[in-house]
Amino acid sequence: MLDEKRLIWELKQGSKDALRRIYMEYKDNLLTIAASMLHDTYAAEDVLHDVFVSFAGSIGNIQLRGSLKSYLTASVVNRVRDMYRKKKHHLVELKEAGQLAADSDGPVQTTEFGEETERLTGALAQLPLEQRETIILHLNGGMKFKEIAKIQRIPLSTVQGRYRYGLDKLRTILKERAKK
Amino acid sequence: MSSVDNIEKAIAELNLTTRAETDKRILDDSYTALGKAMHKHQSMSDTGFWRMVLRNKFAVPAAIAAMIFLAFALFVNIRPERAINTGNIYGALSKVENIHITKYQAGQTSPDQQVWASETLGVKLLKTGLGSQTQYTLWDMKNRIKMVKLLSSNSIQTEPITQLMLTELEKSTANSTDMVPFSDRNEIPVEAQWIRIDDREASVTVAGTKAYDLNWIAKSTDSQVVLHKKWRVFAEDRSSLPKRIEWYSKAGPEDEYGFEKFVVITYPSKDEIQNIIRDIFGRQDDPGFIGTPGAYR
Repeated sequence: MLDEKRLIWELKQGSKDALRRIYMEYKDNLLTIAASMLHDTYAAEDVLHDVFVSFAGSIGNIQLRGSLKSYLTASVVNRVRDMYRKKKHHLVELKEAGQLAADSDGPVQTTEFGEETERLTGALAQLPLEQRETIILHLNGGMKFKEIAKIQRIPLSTVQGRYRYGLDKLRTILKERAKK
Repeated sequence: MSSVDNIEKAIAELNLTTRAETDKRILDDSYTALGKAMHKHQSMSDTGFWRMVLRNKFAVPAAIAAMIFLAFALFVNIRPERAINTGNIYGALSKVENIHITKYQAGQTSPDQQVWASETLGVKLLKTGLGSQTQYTLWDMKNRIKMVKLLSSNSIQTEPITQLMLTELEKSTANSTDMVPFSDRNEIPVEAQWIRIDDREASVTVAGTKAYDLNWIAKSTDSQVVLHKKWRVFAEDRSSLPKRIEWYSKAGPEDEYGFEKFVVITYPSKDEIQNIIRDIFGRQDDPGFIGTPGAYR
């Protein structure tokens, strides 16, 4: 468990060791979140890169209200949304993704996923972004619905709804795939 | 279990790992960004404050009040805590000219050996053994003479220092393996963790210092054997110089660290080292004696 306050303080003094410790602690979880949302590990690594470079470059202005993990997770989510908005990433959304994933037994965007991971992230890629984000943040990011509601700026009940509908849809997708 | 059966658990267990080259790229770029941020922050601190004070009539009294508070805080010895990193320690050690290192095995109260080294004087003195078995070895590098004194016989032997011996001696002083785990700070593994530890966690308290741990995994050359190593440094707040260093290791991540050895370090003046050498080897009544005893024998 990191002593976040101390690490942030050390980082504000310019400590590379503090930055390295923070990176080593959270990198894999943040990569998993980004990759699950983008269904592309290479794009996810770019997100991780941007998040940490931006974090280090703006350390003087950062005032943490919650945990450092929540802050970094929210940064990853924002970057992923930016990618969608700017359409820089060749993300295959919704129906198109579903068609592509259904047409192919192999990985859609990357060769880095294992088989089970590929199956899951492939199915996740077919969900609407909001549902996917909610499911990943809750299950993989360990965030409470309340925290997700704060990040997404929506009521708690909407978050719970997105989570429930998202999971149902995911089950259906995986069952259909299992039949093929 | 398929992911359909327990979909929540399967998603929660998704775990990807970054590649080593990705870690390097991200960390390098982040360090650069951090460096720029610190530089910018420093520039703003240097100029922004005074510009603000000069332009804003309300800021003047506030600035004066702040300065009075700061002066008071310094007066009562309240200083902001400064974090020390491995770079500070390696940097501070590289500037040391005179040093005294006392080495102990864990649990021992008598030292294994003591070393005094003075770059200024060009000498290194080693004390080993206890009581009448004590042996002093002096390498007078300036005069290329090695001198050995055995207390049991009170005899002094001398021999010339070869070029090979000289090269080895020059390498070994402050970068002694008892002092630092890696001869170069850049050799510290990327995964190593540098942690400031609470005084209560430390086995001892060393006045004026703060304790830090460097934890890393040492691998054998074939990467088959790993050892978890810990280098605990009690570094002086102001100078970053280590006053005490402890060495620990363990075989597995779940094991307790075993305390292996420790060193106590002081930084005497060249005169103090000169006096010690003179007491052991020198002719104190010789008015021409200046501290490189080999030259006078």
